[in-house]
Amino acid sequence: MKPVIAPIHRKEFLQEDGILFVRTDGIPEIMIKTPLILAGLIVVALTMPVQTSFSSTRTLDLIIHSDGSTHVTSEIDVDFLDSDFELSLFGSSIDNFVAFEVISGSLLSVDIIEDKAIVATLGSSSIVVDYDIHDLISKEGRIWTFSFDSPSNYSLLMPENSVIVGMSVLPNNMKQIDEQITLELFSGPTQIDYIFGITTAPTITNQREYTLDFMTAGLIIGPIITVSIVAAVLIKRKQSKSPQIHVVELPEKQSESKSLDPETIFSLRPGMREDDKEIVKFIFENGGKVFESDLRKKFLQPRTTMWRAVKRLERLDIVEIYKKDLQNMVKLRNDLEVEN
Amino acid sequence: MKVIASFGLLILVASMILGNPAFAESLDNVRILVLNYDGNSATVKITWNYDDKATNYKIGCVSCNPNTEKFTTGNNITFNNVTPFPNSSYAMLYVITYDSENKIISAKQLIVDLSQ
Repeated sequence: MKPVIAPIHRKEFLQEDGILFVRTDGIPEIMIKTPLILAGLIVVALTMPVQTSFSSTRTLDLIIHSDGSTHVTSEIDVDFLDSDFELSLFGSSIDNFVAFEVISGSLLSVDIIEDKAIVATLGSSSIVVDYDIHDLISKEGRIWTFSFDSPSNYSLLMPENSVIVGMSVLPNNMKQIDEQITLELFSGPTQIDYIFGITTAPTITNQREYTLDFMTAGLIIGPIITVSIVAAVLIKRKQSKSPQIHVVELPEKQSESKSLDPETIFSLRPGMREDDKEIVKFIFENGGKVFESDLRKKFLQPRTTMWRAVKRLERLDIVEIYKKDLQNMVKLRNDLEVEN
Repeated sequence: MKVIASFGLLILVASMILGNPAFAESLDNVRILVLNYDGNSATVKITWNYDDKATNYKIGCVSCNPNTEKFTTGNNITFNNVTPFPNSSYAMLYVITYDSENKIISAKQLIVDLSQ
């Protein structure tokens, strides 16, 4: 077996030598291509910064929320020739990232990798990015600190009821809308310390604006309200007194106690009929007053007979007759005088 | 009648409480007086209502460069060299009240137009 194998190996070796000779033939071609490739790479490398320089931040607005997050809204001009735009974010804790084209408002797809966002601009020249970031605010005790190194000028809306207690740089401008302060800040590092207080005071022009405070308002309004209420109470009381005079029940009850007893009446009117005396007794036993109808029922008298009897007593000033609930009420008088 | 009288009494008491600074919350009533302003800096007198819970007050100027702060136990302070923000006449100050344990009770931002 060995004599057969040995020539085959030798033959392959000889063939490899031949292949090496062929490679040597391609050297001039490689020598030409390599500088071209290198030149191309250099051109690409030189072009990259030029491409990135096409993007610029047009506006940058930050809103600090009371929970310590910051909402970032930025309008950025991008190179419309690029299909993708790589955006450096201000931190890696990003939420609710949205990118859309300014003109059409159409949403753009985004890939976020740590603190970078790659936006598929699709030929847009201007885009808006919108996101929440949690890396700009820190808190120690009750003091919150906003730290930001901005690449451009920006606006910062402070949270409601916040009180700024320290600023590392002075703002370019400041506005106060309701109870929120907006600062316009320059690019570069900024640190703002704030706490949450009661409320921010309105812009103070002079001391007089503060004179109408709770104390003054209380001193003015309090007595006015008190006087008004006292007057209302007095008027109400005065009004409520007059109807009491017209209450029928009260004088009636008083008269009940003052009704003369039958014996006194009989002594003052000695010539009374016996049947009339019975009527008087019955009235007295029923509290000094009865309906005429009750008298009829009691004494089983016809209407006219009883009416005459009652009228007879009235003429003697023993009773008085008045209407109550559309009936005749017969009541013993308490001011009976001696008959002349 | 009784209801009206009670209601009147309630309003009277409420107005007395509201009207009395002793019952006011901390920093409810802050007064600022610009004593002088020369176009660059001003002297500002700040007065606030008495609060029995507050034992210490911190007053600071944020628009001053560098920021300045002072402490007092009273209910007023005179702040010198208060400077406004650049290109404006508005100064930003603050008052913080602390209790006996040095905890913040309340805070208030003061924005003062020094030119008025």
